[in-house]
Amino acid sequence: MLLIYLKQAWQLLKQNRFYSTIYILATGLSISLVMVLAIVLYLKVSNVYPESDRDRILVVRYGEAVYPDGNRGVNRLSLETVRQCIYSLQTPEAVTAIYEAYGSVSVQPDDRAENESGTVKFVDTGFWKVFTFAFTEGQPFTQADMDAGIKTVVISESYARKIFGTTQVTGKYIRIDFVPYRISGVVKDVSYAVDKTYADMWMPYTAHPSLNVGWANGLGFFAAYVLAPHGETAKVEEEIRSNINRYASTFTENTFSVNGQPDPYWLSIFRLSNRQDVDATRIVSTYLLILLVLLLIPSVSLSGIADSQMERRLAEMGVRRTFGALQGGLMKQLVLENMLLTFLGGLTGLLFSYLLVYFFRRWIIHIGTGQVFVNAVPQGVDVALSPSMLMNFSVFFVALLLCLVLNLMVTLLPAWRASRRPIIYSLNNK
Amino acid sequence: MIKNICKHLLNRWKKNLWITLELLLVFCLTWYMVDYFFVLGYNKSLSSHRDLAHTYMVNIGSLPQNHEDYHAEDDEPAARYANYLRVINLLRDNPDVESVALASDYSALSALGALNEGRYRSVTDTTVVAETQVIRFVADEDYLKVFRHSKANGKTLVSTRDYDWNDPANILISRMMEEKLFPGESAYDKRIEAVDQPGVQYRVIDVLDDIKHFNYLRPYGVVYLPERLNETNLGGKIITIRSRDGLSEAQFMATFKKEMSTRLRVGNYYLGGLNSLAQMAEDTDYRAGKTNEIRMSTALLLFLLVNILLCVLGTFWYRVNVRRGEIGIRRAMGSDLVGIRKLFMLEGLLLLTIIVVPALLIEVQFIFSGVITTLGQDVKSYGSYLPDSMGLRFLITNILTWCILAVMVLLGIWYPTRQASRMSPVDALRD
Repeated sequence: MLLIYLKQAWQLLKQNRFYSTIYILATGLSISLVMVLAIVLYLKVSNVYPESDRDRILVVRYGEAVYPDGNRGVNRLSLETVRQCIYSLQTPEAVTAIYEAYGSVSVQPDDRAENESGTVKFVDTGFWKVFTFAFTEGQPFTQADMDAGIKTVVISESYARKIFGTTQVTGKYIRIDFVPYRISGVVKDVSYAVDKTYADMWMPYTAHPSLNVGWANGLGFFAAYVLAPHGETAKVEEEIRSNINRYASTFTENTFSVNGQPDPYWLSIFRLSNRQDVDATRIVSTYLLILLVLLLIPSVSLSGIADSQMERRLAEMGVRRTFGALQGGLMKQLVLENMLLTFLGGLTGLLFSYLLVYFFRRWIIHIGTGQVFVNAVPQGVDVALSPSMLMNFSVFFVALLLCLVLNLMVTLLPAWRASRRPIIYSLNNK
Repeated sequence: MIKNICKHLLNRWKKNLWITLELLLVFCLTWYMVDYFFVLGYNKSLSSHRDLAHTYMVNIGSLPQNHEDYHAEDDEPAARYANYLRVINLLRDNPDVESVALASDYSALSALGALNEGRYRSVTDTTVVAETQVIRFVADEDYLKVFRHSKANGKTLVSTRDYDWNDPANILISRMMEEKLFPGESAYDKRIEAVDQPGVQYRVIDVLDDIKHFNYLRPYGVVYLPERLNETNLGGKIITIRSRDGLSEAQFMATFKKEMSTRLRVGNYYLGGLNSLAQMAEDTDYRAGKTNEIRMSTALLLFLLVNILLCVLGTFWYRVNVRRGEIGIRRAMGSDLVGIRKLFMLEGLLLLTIIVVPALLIEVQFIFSGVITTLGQDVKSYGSYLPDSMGLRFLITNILTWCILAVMVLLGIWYPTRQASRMSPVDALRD
């Protein structure tokens, strides 16, 4: 039966080219906008190299200290807080703390007088366990390097090529702000879109030229990422909470809190400022509202056009009903027929959204989280997007779901109106 | 004709429901976007009275103590000062450099987003206070020329060298401050003071144009506070230069870096970098989310317009097909192609006009619910500013919205009616 409906729909599509074109364009436009949003969100929250286990990562980035006189301080965590609450955890698979200091440096290549700019992330040894970097050469710096504050770095392939002209650089020295660092390993490039781990170089935070371990009120510049074993996120979350509560009770001069953290990774990207609480319900409903507007506008106009189109087929409906077709059956047919057009529109929309994401990738990666302060992609840095980031099951599934929803929004009312007309009226309609 | 169309619309009101609803939805949302772009465009149309094109920030670094070329004796205050002056002279002597400026802090360069604000009043009438941006610059170099500050509404460009800075009380203010503190009279030679520093009196030696902190904001009053360079206040100064006219940014930057990298190795100083201020201003807009906000708004506006275009196209394409008989009769009665097209177009415009009334009611709800914000309404500006008058702005933005949608409606009707016009009266009548 379905096949007959589809065949008929295909014939209708060919007959009414103008109608079909408009329908496909409007559907495609609406779906492409939603898909751009969906792809950007996918990049931010799904498992993407090297953050391949985001679904089991818990994040504690911000702390708040309140004093008896009402003054409050808000910032990242101090090293002591990380030691007490994160490094001491027993249940996680791995933990890491990133020193979120300004990481823009200038590098002095040996063969040129001019400096090259670069970005550095200040991390620990756990970083290489929480995030799955692919080493093409060498290895991460060791705990011994870290403890002694030895100046070592891990460098990305493309940056190694930029400075040395080759990626075989393990053991060589690189001058960062005039200070030589030994290269311990080379990793595959990280896309700028994966901003929590993106850098050109990664070094132990103990090698930072002016490391600030934070203050006695528990605040500082560290952000913690905890990798829970499969299926044990709740247990790890519980342990983090209990560690934080225990640690918070040791403060006498101020209170220390983390406002409901740890967050699952996906939620943490919406925690934008130190003070803000994130509310998963509010975030989801905001997105649903945007989705509704993006789907409602085209669906009203498409409904109008579909209604007119169905009006033209009233005579056919009349004949079908005379021979015993049920109202429900006719409705099903009309909705299914339209589905073909919606799918074609969806496909067009998906392809168009890939083009949009690809060509506008330098700024499009910043939309969607309500972030006010965003760092422009530095000159000379490309936002590399791999095919698997764009073409994957999740993205296809969202596109399919959108098609189904949009199709129902568009056709339900017109199909209901068309199928419930009295038979005489329909038959008489020409 | 209008009466005829109205009757037609009324008779077929059920058929017009969808398109009316869509027009209403799109009108309200488009108006929201048009209002945003109206204020943005209005702000941008006002002159900045300052020009960042061809200006650069010269980043002069100081070697770390563990560097092999570091000399402790060059870090003595007197030597450091002398070396600093040599660096400035070398910059000034570069034939590609037109002028050099020294700013006391980042807020003097709007490119970086920093803003220094102050509250000033006249010493004679302390009741009126003007809130204003404060620009601190070093009077020994030519800050005003580098950034092309002007007076008399852009007619006269000014230079720091035009004024006598020997009296530390001498300052410059902008027109908005003059109007606020000395309404109807000249501020020249008048005395003003900062509200939080009563007693420290400044003497106004000229009135310059107001400048915008960001290009997309409204202009804002300014107080220019000069200082003189000495051994003790080198820290934090920012060196900026303007390149000679006619040199492209890339060309200038490449030559400058190549030529000056070695020459600027003076004492412990070295050339740390050269940044285009115009580029930095763009980056700042981006960081503040402004660039993305504008891009997203543009995308949304386009989305709305294309949707309404498709809706009108589809609806009228169907309508023309259904009314073939009517078109045939009209043609047979002598109506020409233009007349038939006009009929449909008027019908579309009439529909658009009808929905304006409910749309206005919805928009008023928008306004009262506080959804509408004005770009830069937090700038403590004074003086007349069109977007501040709500009624006029509401009128202008709605007329603009109507016009934009009318274009879309006409475009959407044009194509289907072309088909109708090509219809032979005989065929049409037979249908």
